[in-house]
Amino acid sequence: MRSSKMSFLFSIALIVVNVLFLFTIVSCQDLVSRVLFPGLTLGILGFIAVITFAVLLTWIYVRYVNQSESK
Amino acid sequence: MADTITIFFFVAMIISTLMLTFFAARKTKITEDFYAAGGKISAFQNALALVGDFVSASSFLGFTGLIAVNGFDGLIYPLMGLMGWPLVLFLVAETLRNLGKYTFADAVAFRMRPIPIRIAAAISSMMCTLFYLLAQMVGAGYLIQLIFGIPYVTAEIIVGAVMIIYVLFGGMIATTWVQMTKAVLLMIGAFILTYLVWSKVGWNPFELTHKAVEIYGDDILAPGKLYSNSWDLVSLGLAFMFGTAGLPHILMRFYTVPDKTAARKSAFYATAMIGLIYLLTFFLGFGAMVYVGRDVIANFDKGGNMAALLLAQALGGPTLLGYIAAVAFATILAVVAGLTLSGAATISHDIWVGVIRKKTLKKGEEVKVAKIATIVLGVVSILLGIIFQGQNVAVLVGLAFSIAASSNFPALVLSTYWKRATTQGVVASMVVGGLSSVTLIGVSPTVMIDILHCESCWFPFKNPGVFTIPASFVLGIVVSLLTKDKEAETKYQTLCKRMSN
Repeated sequence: MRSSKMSFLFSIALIVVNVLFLFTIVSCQDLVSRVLFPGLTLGILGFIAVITFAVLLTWIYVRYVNQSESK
Repeated sequence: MADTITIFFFVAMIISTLMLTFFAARKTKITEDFYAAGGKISAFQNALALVGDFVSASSFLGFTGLIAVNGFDGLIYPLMGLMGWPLVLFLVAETLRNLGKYTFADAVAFRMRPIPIRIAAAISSMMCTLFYLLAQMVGAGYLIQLIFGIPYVTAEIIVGAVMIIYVLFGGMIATTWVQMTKAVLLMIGAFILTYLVWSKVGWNPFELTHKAVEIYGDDILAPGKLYSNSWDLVSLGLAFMFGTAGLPHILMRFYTVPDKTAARKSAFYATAMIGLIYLLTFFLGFGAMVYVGRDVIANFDKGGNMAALLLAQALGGPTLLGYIAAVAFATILAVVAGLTLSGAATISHDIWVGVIRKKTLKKGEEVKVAKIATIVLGVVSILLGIIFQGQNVAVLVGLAFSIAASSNFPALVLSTYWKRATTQGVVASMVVGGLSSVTLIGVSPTVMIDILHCESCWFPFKNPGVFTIPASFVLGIVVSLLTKDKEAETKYQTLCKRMSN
């Protein structure tokens, strides 16, 4: 049941990040369009960061569950 | 657009996948082989097959085109497509592997009264599968016509016939091999194209977007072209996210691995591979924008679906174009085969075995019914594909995801994670989720304004996920609290044991 709690916590984290990013894209267009250096905007950085976050979260989850099962 | 090399790749793809089916047919002996490849697929193989099942032509070619034509706004679709995968891992993959046998209804019905659950699950699964299959068939006919110059009706018949052969003779084993082959070829193609794009910009990916800004202006990296309402975008994002975790043909793949560890690993590998493919569409989209040009892409197809193919032609010549075209064709075949198998399993396993015949089933009858259902589904999808030629079927994909998100996913979560859930509650959740999705999309701008050309619409959102998903959960909880299901409550302990084993 501990892994169920983890599943829900991780799911909520993912949903919150996804919803916040999508909401920001439309409601804070100036912020999303801000150029960090030529060719890279805050929006593109956000896109890469959210994809990386999703993949990292799955990796952490798999490691956690594998470790707790081997104990 | 078709030349000798493209036709060669097209024919080679059909012959090689049919050979795979021939070998798979020799391995398909019992019911479990037909539906679940005997549960002998490894985690990595299943991950490849999941990629093959999920990344459709509309996502590989369509997302690249959306980025090439719209710039930053096009990036949102691949992002939404990926975000459902971690949910599949966290909440669905292991649960299904431990509780079910062949379909997602097995897991939902584990501790509930099976007949009402299987009927409700079968209706919502068939709606998802048919809408998604029809969208794929219409898209496939159109794409094959565009790429290979084959008439639309002939293209529909080829795709339908090959899909029937895969599933009919090779079942899940052939479908898995076709999906794995497609995933590998797709990743190779995406890597080659990315390599060619990067080599053009001195291995600096942001030089690519900088070039796009120099040609098309700052606007290309700014949002606001495709979406103007935050809640509408959030609603679409939620439907994609929860819908991925409720698509019957995706969920069915978790029965093909030997245990829950393999299910977990395959969901993780699939997430990483899909994330990688969608990151690569970023470079392919902007690459096509810079090295092909938005006007050229839009001249071929307004939606930009030809962007990846035109980029292949521009950077790699006719050979690479032929290869990417063949990959697009394999992509179509892999997805429709997975959908057909899922539909056949719903008809034979959930309805014929679970509701009609129950314990009076004869040996071999289930597979026989599944094979008849495969032929019927194949013929129906060819006919519907021909009837819907030229129609805007994008709404059907939204509908399939919305039903999966609002009907299948809440039912799966409530029935497996909440002790107090009752049969009545879960059925109510599925019925309301499915009905509200169909109704609200029917009165949305996508249908009323884009398709029916009305001046206004009754529901302002393009996708109703933000309303239908919570409504389905809330109704499932309220009805469960108002009703009693002793059997479901007693069996919850068994469910917990099965889930942890």
